[in-house]
Amino acid sequence: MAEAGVVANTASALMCRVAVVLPAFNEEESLGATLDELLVCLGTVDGMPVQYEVVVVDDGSTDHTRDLARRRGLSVLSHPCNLGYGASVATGLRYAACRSAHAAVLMDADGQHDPGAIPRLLRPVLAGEADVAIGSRYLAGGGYRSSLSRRAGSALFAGLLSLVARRRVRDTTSGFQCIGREVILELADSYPTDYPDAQVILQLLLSGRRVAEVPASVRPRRAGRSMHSWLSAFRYPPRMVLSLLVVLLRFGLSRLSARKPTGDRGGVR
Amino acid sequence: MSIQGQIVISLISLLLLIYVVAMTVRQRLSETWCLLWAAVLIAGVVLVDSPWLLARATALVGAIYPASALTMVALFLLLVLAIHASSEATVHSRQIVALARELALLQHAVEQRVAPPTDTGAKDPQPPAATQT
Repeated sequence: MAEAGVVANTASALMCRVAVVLPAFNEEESLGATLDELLVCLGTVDGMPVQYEVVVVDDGSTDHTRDLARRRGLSVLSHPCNLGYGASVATGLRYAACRSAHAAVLMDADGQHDPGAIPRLLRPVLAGEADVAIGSRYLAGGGYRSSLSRRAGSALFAGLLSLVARRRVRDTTSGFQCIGREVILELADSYPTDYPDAQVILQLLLSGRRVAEVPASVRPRRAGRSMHSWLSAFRYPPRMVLSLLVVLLRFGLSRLSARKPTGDRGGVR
Repeated sequence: MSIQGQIVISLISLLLLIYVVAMTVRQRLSETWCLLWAAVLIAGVVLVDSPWLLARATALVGAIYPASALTMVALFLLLVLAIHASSEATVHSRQIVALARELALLQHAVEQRVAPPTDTGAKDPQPPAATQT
């Protein structure tokens, strides 16, 4: 995190580059309005100049998502076929790494995330206080209201992850995140494609990364359908638990093979 | 096993062996898999056509009937192969995802060179008042 700290302290000399990554699959109905709102909201962070680049990762859309983003002159990365959310994020992070971005903001293309919260998300990362900032729906000020089943599921995962990582994390499934440069480089080639949310957070916490949570409001999607169908309610929990177990096992094996103390763990502020 | 049963199984194995070799010739099956399946088929024929060997194998796996022993061995063999095939499919799936991602990045790089957009989406941080928070 030293680099982000340097960036924050020498803001006038070195401009921070931030990639705003929007994974999109068949989002032509909502993407336009989301981009309009986003482009207006991007601004400085604590007076620090920031150079934003909006990157739309078109995940094999069959509608005009790609053309819509291209017409606005944005960077568009098009998968030749639908690879899933995790692969889209990985492509966006890889691009951010290639562009030497100091941070990458991940947000949904369906308008659920308020782009006005981006400077708040960026602040701890660019200031060197955190490696990753999560836009949390469940912190005071988040103002998120969802169905009881979804709240119960989120609470279960948050409790499980907090127990395993021994750090309190309130929102483990938020797709609204800001990722610092070191973590971008770490995840660009290893971002999981299946059920990545909690898995990545646990992986980062176990490896000593600092994860901060920032209140962020979530709105209903503008149009289109969610990638989570009713079947997900049955598939999601066991696969999520399995992915957490796999991360734990991998971490344990890596510690065994390294055979040296890992030092102080990071945590959620 | 009766002579008729031995003949039927040997014939089926022979036909399958020819099919496996033909698939390999047409490049629809790799040599490695061809060798594996050929070994399995030949081992099956040898086992079925040698009553003494079949009896020893039955005793070895703890089965009472030779047919049960054959079924058990075949089932476990298929399970192992299915697990191996799942693993290979996972590896190939990851490789395809990695290739598709590289393709997306390269395509973008080529488009930037051939027809760069007038506005790259990068926001100039200071001059426009609209970008200040």
